[in-house]
Amino acid sequence: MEVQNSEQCNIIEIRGDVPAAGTSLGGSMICGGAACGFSDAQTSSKDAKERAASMRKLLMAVVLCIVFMSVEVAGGIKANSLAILTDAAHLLSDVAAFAISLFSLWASGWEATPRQSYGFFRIEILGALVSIQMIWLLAGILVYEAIDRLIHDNGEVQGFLMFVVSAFGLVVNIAMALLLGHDHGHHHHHGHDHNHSHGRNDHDHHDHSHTHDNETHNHGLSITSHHHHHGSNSKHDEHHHTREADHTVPLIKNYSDCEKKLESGAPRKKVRNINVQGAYLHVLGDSIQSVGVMIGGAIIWYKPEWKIIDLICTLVFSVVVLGTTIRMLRNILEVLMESTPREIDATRLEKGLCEMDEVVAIHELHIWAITVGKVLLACHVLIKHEADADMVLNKVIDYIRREYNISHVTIQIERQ
Amino acid sequence: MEREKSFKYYSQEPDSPHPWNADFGFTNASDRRYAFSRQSSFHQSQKDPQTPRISNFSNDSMKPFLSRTASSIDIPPGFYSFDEVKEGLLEAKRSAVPEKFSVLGSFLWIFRVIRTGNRQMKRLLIMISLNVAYSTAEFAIGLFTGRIGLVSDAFHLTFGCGLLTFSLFAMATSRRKPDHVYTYGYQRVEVLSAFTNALFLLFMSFSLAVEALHAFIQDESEHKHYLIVSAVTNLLVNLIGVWFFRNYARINLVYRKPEDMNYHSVCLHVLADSIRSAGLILASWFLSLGVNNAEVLCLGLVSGAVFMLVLPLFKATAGVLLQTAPPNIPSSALSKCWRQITSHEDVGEVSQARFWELVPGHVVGSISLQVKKEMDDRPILEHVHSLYHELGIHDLTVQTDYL
Repeated sequence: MEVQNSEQCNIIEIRGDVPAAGTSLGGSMICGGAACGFSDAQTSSKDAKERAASMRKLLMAVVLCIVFMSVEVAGGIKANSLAILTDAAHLLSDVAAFAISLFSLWASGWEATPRQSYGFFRIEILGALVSIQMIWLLAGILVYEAIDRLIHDNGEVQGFLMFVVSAFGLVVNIAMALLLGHDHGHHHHHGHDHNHSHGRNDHDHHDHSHTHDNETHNHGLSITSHHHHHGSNSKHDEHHHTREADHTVPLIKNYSDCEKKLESGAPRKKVRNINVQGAYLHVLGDSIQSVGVMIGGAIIWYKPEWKIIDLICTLVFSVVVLGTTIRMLRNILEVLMESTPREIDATRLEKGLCEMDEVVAIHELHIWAITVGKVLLACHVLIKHEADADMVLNKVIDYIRREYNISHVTIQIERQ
Repeated sequence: MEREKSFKYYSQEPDSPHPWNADFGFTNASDRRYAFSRQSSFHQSQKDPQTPRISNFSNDSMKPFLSRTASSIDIPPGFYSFDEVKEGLLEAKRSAVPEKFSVLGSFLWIFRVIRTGNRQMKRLLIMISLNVAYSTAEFAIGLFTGRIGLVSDAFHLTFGCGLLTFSLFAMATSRRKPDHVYTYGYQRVEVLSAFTNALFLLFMSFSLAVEALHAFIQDESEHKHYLIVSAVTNLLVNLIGVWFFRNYARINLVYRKPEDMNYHSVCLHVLADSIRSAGLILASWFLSLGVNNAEVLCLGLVSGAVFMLVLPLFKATAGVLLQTAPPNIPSSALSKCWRQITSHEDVGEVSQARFWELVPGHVVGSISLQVKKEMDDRPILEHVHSLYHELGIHDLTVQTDYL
C-alpha cells in the first residue's frame, strides 16, 4: 500500500502491515504437516545472519589456532623440548573445542523435521555443555601434570622454558579472546520500534558488517518519509531497513508502553551467542592458566628450589578457571531442565492474565526455553461461560507477546 | 512421609495400559525380574483403556466436575498439578539445584540418603565409598613411593567417583516436587547425569585410543609397566558394581522410567572401568609373554569396546535433551491420531503438533486446531485429549482457533 509522489523530493509512503507473526491469524505459521518450523521467515533470517557472523568469528579463531599450533609443533620438534609440545597439544584441545562450537552453530540452523519438531536449536546448548566438560577435563589434566612434574624431580632448571612457552601461549590466547569477544558498541535504537524477533532482548549480536538489527515491525500503519534524489526511481527495498535519514512514525500507536520499555532497556546487557561465549570462556581459561604457569616458571627460575610453587599455582588457577565456567554452566542447566527462564516473571504473568475480565483461572502454566533467548509458553485458561473464546484467545496471546515477547504460545481455553 | 508418597505415585505410572508396552505387572521398583522381559504374554489389562487415570485417583472423583485447580478435560495431572505449585510458591525461592555447599551439609545429606533412599541409591552409595577409599589409598601410596602410574590411576578413579556422586545426587534430587521455577519438576536431572556419564565414557575411550597411539609411536624401552595389584583390585571393585546394577547390563535398552537412564549409565560406567582394568591386566600378561605390540592391541580393543558400549546411551540421552519426538511412540500412531482428528466434522486443520519427552515415560505435547465456531468446544477437546491419552501422552495443550 504505497502512495508515491515521485516528482517531489520527498516521498511519502504509507505502509500497512499484516501481522505476519501471528500463529492463529496469519497464514504463515499454519502448515499442513505434522511439524512446522519453529520460527517464521523474519526471525529465521535474522537468526541466520547472527549465526553467520558467529561462525565467521569462530572460523577465524580456529584458523589462528591452527597456525600457531603448527608453529609451536615445528619449534618444539626442532628444539626437542617436551614443554613446547605439551603446549601445542593444549592448543590442539582448543581447536577441538572450537570445532565443537562451530559444529553446534552450524547444526542449529538445520530445518526442523517431524522427529525434531522444535528444530535443532538445542544442539547449541548441548555443544556448549560438551565444551565446558572439556574445560573441566583439561583443568584436571593440568593439575595431574603439575603433580607429575613435582614427583618426577627432573632437577634441571625448567623455569625459563616454562616462562617463555607460557608467555607465548598467553599472547596467542589474548589475541583470540579479543577476536571472539569483540563487540561493536553501536546499538541503533530507532524510536517506536517494536521488535518481534525473539532474541532482541538478550541475544543481540553485532558483527563487523554493521547490519542493523532492528526490524521495524509496526503493527498498524506508519508513515515513512524518505529523501530521494529527484527523478530516481524509488526502489524501496521491502525489508524493514530504515536508514538514518528516515523518520518512521506510526500513525496508530498501538503499544503505548513500547517506548517505556525501550528506554529502560537502553543500557541492556548484550549476550553473545552461547557457543561463542563457550569458546571465549575456553580461551579465557587458557590465558588464566598461562598466567599461572608463567608466575610459577618465573619463581622457579628465580629460586629453583621452590618446586612446590608450580603445583600451588596450577591448583589455584585451575580453581579460578572452574569458577568462571560456573555461570554459563548454570544457564545451560537451567535451559536443559526446562525451567522458567530468569528474565520472565511467571507470577507477574499469571497475575496479569488473571486480571483480564473474562479469565477465571490459569493453570498448568509452563514456560520454558528452547535455547537462550527463545521461549515458549503453554497454559490452560479457564474463562467465564458466556465469554467469546476467540476474543479471549487473541487477547491473551497479544498480552503475552506484547509484555513478555514470547511468541510461541499455546493456550487451551476451557469454559467454566 | 511425603517423599515416599510421591515416589509411590511415580511407580504406579507404568500401570496405565500402553498397548505396545510389554510389562504390565511392573509395579514395584525393586521388582526387577520383570524389568525388561520381552514376553508379551504379560498383559493384565483389567482396566478400561478409556479412563485409566480416574480409577487411580478415585479420591478425586468426589470433587466437582470442573474444579478450579485441576482441569477435568485433561486427565487429572497427578504429579505435576498446579496446586502443588501454588503451595510451593509461598516458600519457594529461586535457587539453583545445588545450594550452599558445606561439609556438614554434605554429611547430613549422606545420612538422609542412607535413611530414605531406595535400594539402588544405597548400592550406589556403597560403591562410591568403596571407590573413594580405594582411590585415596592409591593416591597416598603413589605419592609416598613415587610411582606415577598409581597417581594417574588414582586421578582417573577420582574423576569417576565424582561422576558417580553426581549420579547419586541426581537420583536424590529428582524426587523433589515441582516448584515455581521448575514447573516440570526435577526429573530431568537424571537424564542429565546419564548424559554426563556417557560423555565422560566417550572421553575415556578417546583418551585410551590416544594412549594406544602413543604406545604405538614410542619405542619399546619406554613401556609403562602397569601395576598388576592395583589393576586387579580395581577390577574387583568394579565387578561388584556391575553385580549391583546387573539388570541394566545391556547395550540397547528400552527406557520406561526416568531413573532407567541413570542406572543404565552407572552400570555402563562401572562396566567400562572393569573392561579397562581387564585390558590392562591382559596387556601386562601379554607383555610378560613377550608379545611386543600387546599394549597397543589391548588398549585399542578396550577403547573400541567402550565406545560401542556407550554410543546407544549417548544417542538416547541426547535425543531426550534435544526435545526429539518420543522414540517409543511410532510416528504411524501419531499420524493415525492426526487423521482421526482431522476426520472429525468440526475440525478444519491441525497444525503445530509437537511432542517431546520430558523424561522417558513422560511425554508432553502441544497441538493447535482450527475448528468451526460454536459455543461449546468441550467435546472436541475431550476427544483430542482421549485420543492422545491412549498413546500415553498425558500432558497436552490444545489450542483451538476459530475459523
